Amino acid sequence: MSIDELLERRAERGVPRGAARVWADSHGAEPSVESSGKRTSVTLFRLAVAVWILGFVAVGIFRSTSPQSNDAASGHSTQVSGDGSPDVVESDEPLPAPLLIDGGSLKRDRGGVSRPFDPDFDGDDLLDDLFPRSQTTPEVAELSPEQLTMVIFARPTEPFDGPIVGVELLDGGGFRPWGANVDDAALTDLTQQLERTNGEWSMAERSGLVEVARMEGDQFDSLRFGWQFDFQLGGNEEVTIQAETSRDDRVVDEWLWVARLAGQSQTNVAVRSIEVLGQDGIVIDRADGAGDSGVVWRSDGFVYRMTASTVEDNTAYGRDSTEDIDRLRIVERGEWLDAIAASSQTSIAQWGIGFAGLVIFVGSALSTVWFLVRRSFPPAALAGATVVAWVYLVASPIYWGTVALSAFGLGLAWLLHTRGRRATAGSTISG
Amino acid sequence: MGRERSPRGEGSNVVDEELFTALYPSLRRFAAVVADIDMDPDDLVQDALMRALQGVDLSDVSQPGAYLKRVMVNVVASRRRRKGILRRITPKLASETSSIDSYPSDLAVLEQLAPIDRAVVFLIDVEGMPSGEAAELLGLTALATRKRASRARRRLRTVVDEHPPAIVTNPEGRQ
Repeated sequence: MSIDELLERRAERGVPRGAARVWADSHGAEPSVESSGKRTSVTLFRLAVAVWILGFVAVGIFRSTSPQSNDAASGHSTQVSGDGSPDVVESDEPLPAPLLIDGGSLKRDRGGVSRPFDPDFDGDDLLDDLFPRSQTTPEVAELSPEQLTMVIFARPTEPFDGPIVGVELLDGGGFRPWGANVDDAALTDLTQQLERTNGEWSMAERSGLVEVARMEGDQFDSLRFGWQFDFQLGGNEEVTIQAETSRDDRVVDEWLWVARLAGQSQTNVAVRSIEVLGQDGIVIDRADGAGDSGVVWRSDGFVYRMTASTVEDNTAYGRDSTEDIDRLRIVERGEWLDAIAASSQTSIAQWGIGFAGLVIFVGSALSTVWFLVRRSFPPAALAGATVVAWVYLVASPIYWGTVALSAFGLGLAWLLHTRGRRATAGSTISG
Repeated sequence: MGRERSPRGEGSNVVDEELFTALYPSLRRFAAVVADIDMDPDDLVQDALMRALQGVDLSDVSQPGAYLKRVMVNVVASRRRRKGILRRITPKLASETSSIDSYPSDLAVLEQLAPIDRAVVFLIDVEGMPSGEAAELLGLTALATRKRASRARRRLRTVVDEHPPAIVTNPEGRQ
């Protein structure tokens, strides 16, 4: 028998079942349904990928445009301790200036609390002091000598709307002038009109300016307690609000901030009057128009200052804070405490979502590498896109949306990889 | 060897079945040669068809017959590898008597060849396919195909000459 005959004989072995039977057996009871079902699954898969892409686009748009909501809850009022420390005990002393802003929520990374007598005191310590715990009393530092350190001259009426000259008295008898609402030439002219008689400073009558404020000792020593919080507004806008109150025997007012900012600025500042929460306030601006203005006002023994900024690429740029003063509101102490407490709390759900997001991110990165090793390029592209999208949208206000879409994308990538492996069963000879 | 794309929907399934029906005789013969002696050829055809339809529509494949034959060769090769692994793992359990001996010797001698070698020789010598076309069908180079065919023939010749296949006599006494 020849080889051909042998092979021919082999080819005819057995009893053929027939094409129809083999076809039916390969499809089970409903062969036509399986075929169309496979086609339907491909359409659904493509639709799922399209929805996934649109989802990420929507999250990205939401991230850049959607405002935050102010979730400050209404609370009950309590009072402060008798010594003025912000503890929860019965007292008649005024509360430390609860103030919130509509449409803004306290940022979790609070700007901190200024407490001149304790530089280690921060926002968490404030939180401890404000809730029912063991009472703490801030230590009072020794007073510095009550020497005159600052004299401010301005118009007797509407002083914030005219030329202002400040004289900072230095150790050794020298002085340093600063100006507000004046240019360098005018400041020089007004400085030349300063007079000093028996240690008292005055301005020549022809200047039209009179002494409107003076500070004795260290201006920071005047403060007893203060806080500063940052508020996140819609999009990338932020607001910072500070509140400072004085010791019983010292007074702090708007001039404190004028003196600070004017003295620190390289250029003369501009000051003008404005009304804030029904109180007289001032706007302090850099005269060169570089922005970074602040609104300062006094209320119930506290001096407030609000500044506004826009954050771009992790850099804060000052903007006109007068745009947001209509959103300020005095609240009950309970609501204020709730807002502070809420800003530092992390719910179990948030922890869970955060952990899930991290797992999905790592899983997507590893899957991308795996797909590349297996030469499964479309799933690698899908998983890689998930990684990139997660990195870009991780700071989205709806972080859960980012996590869900990332998980969805990773699932699609694995589904595509699995289907591709089955489909290539006959594409190469392996034996 | 192309085929026009069929319309989507239920109709394409009918086209696939018609296509398969036309290819069946060739596929069945090929399966009978490639499949191991203890494997039913129609089972191999069915297995290859099921695997192929999981990923593609036959009407979308330019050469569905060649595609299915390639799948069959892979399936048999994988099956042989699994049996070889199992035999190495459990040598004591393997029967000393090969299952080949239970089949007619004229068919069993082909078990000496690997499935792909049987496919090469069958396509070239029996089906009359040019070696280049056979190479393309099986996913091999032309040179590798010719070498496999030459080696397979030499091996078969050796086996046939040493152990000529027994002539099977049917009940009527005809050969």
